Amino acid sequence: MIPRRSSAAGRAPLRSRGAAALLLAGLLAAAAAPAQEAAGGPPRDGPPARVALEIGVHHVSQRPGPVDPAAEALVQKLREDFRYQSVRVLDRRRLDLALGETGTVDLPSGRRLKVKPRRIGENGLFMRVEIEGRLRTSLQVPNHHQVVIGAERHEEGKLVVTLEPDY
Amino acid sequence: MIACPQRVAALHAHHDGELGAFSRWRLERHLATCPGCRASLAALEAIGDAARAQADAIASPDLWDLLAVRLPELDAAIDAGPPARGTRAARLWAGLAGLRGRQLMKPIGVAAAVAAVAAGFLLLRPVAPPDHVVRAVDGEGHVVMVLPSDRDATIIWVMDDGGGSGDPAPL
Repeated sequence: MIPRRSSAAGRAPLRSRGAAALLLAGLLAAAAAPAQEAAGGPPRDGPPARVALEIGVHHVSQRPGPVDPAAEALVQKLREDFRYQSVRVLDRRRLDLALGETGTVDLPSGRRLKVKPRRIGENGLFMRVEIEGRLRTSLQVPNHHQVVIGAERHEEGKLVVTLEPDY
Repeated sequence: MIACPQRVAALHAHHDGELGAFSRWRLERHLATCPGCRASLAALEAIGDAARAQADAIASPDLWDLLAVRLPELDAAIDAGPPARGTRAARLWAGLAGLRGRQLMKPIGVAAAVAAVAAGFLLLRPVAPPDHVVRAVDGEGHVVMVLPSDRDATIIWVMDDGGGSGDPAPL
């Protein structure tokens, strides 16, 4: 005859293992969701056919001067590595582009910025960016990740272009 | 060998991992040509290694090891019988005995350990910066620097020929 206590001891580990497995699965699911969000993954409905790009054109200088409040985020990003003391926002616009479509922005220096979103991958938007005569680059940018490009010397400072996909 | 006086602060910041990517890049360029600064940095690293070795000698107990030790102790305490009535230990024993009757003590301990580890993982995990934002770059004859991405931004810097006010000042 099997004692009652032994019988109960036999069932309890099964229940506990099931509960622990459920708990672990829940925690893993909770961990996976923000990871996918942080990676800039596509929304659940599938990748959109159009994307928006926030474009900013700034002039930064080592000469003492005002810092445009609208450029405060850029100043924070550059503070660690650069010693610019004044920042002006020269242009800010939002380009709404189809995948494969090229958008252009005329820079104050006379050069032209070209951006071409190509496709949306698991880890971000594949896009090409060209600043005529200065830079050609191929990027994979997670959603809402900002790309800061120090483009060229301009008026005793530097033109800085920022791009940020929003899709 | 003596480090260049104007680089001493940068050497310490570099050793402490506090130098920004651009400053680090400039310092590393300088280190390639300056044996004095290289020797100073090596000395800083030797001191750091010695300090870390000392710290590693102090082992920290693992959470599960603690639980694994504590659970048999609790079982043994229950098996040994109740302490004197009315004491705090007696009330604890009664509670433990009730739980033990349903064989819940160890599963609860395991679940608590899993939850603690998972919560620590979720709360303390740094958000990793994205990898490989810049897949290819052509400066069309200009020097281009790509600074390591952080969580929010990636910086690409096209250097102007001959430096000048467009690019940051040296260290």
